[in-house]
Amino acid sequence: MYEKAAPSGSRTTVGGAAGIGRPLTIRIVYNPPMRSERERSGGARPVTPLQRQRQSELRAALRERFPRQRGQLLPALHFLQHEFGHLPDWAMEVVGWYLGVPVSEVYGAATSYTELRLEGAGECLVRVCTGITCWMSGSSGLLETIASWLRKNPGGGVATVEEAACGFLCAMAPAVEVDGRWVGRATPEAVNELLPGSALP
Amino acid sequence: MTGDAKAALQQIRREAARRLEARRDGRARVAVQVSHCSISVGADGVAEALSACLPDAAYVVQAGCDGACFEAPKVITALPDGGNRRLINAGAADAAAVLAGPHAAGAAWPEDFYSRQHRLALDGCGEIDSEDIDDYVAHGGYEGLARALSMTPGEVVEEVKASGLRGRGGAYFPAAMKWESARSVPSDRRYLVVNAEEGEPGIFKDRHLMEGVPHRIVEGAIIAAYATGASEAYLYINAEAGLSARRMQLALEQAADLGLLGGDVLGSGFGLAAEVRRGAGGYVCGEETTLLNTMEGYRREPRLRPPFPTESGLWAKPTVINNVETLANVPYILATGAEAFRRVGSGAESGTKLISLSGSVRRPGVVEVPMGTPIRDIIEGIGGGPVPGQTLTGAAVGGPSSGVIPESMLDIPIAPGRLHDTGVILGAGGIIALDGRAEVLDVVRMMAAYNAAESCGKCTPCREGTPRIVDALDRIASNGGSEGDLEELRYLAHVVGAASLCGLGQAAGTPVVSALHFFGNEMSAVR
Repeated sequence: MYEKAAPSGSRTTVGGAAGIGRPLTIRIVYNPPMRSERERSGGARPVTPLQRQRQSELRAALRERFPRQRGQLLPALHFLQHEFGHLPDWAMEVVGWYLGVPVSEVYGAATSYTELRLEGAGECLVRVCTGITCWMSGSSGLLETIASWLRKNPGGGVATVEEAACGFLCAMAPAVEVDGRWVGRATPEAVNELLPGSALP
Repeated sequence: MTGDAKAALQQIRREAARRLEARRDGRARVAVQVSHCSISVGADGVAEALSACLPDAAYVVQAGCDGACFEAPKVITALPDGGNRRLINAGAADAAAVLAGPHAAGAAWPEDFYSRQHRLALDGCGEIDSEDIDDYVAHGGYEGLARALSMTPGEVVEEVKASGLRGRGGAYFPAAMKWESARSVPSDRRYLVVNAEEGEPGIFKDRHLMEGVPHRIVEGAIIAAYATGASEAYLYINAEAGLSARRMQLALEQAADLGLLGGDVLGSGFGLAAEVRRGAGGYVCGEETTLLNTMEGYRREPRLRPPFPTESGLWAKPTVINNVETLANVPYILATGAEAFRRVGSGAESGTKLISLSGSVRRPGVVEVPMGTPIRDIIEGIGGGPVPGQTLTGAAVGGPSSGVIPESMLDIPIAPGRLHDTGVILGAGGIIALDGRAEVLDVVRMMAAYNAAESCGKCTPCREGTPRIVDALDRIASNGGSEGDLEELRYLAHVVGAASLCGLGQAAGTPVVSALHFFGNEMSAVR
């Protein structure tokens, strides 16, 4: 058992390969670290007992739901987003470890999908569709109105207002999504009913 | 084995009819059209209110939207005496009107909307209980499958080939040829992937099918798998389409319960396992090889072709990837024969096309028309023309990989492949009617910005070229641009189109090219 680049390894030099004459250096790690240590070294930040508990809870949850196959990466990331509202770094690390996918590739995949969020939204996420039909139906004005209401009265929390490229509700334009609930034929008033603490001044 | 599948279906049909009858029990059947679109205007609340307050003389079922999104939420009641009632734009407070009240409040039945359509894939959508396999079976469902199983896979391929069915996802590749070529590659296993990653702005037809007639897609998928020799099927469904995924999952479970999926489909000895997978957003994920990368747990990037997925697809096995609408046509072809399908449509192109109709029309929604129907008939005949106070200026056809055409060209008939030399295509069938509120420059910029945002970054021409198209459009928008800007636009569109790896980049210049061709004066007049 050895690991190529473990920091604590002792170094051994072995003879040159294929007679090139240049010594080849490899690192051999004796006494491979216990699994828990390895996991800990996989994370960039120090791991507190509470975080460690979170990690093992997540591992257990993954084990329950997903076979350990690379093809389960996207389903597992969906699961994280559903659980946490976004993809926390530590959770992506656990997923990578569990599925045997390098964390860099987990991150690479996660960043390439538009529906996956690396950062949590505010307490309330408002997405205003600004596709062609919605925009013709006045969604830009809607966006301005909602944003200005929320600026004045964020309802005690932090709201995020985004443009959405298309909510696939073109026949119900304009469309606005508030915390996962879409409102078709939207008016500022109808959207307001779903905002936290009713933002309408 | 030939007669067995049909006999097994007969048995299922009898039992389904018995269960339906027991449920109906002389009561009124109230079908609430609950779909992604109608939920956005409160249809789920209507269904809930009706379930809670209707008397014992009625029961509520959930159907999908029948495509008339402008009437949502809609409730269709079948009275025990055979009469029908129809309530449109219903609210939760309208429950009493469902049984006793008049027809729709103040709105005449928009006859044009339905009579000009030809519904094969959408047949029964909006009436069939979308969460009950019995209702689909009673509607003639799984008949095509039973007939397919009584034929050899080769005969099924021939039948579909004879029908002339082409892929309805936008590329219009003959469906049966895909099946045949995957079948001809020697392999211990083959896969079928149902492409329901409907990520194109302005398109919502696959979602309607999945929400309204999920079992038609399951049936089509089983037939396709049988013809291909696939043992596993994956339904890859868009991240936004939560209700579709739920209903498709339910449909798979119900089909398995009745022996239509699993180790021995209808006693024929053919086995198929099926599973729902969810996408995570992105237009490019609808591209076949990108979809495969996504399913295998890689970045959403296309692969080089060849090898084509039919040779080396999912986990390097022969894989057929069919669009939802394509598969929704298959049961009809098998049940009624290729000849009947050929008779629909224009002479050269058989069948129908689902169109996602939006923009400046009075009656937006999903409509199904024969191939060869002029775009004007769809916008003005079915859609009822521009919204009050506006006049049509043109249409954006086929989404951001296609382009815009002016009002004067609306008479061209829909057809697979190119509609015009500028590269305007029918694509997956989105038509957005434009009126005076939409500057063409803005529309094109929106499409270009979308392509730039969705570019996965794998190949340089697309990654670098698409944002520069947007920049050039912005220059024209802000200060009118120069002749050089127009020149650069043409050049960029050409290079990005010629050198990009996948369909997204190859078509990324089309909106610009078509706009410059048809609206060049108007665009430079902006300055």
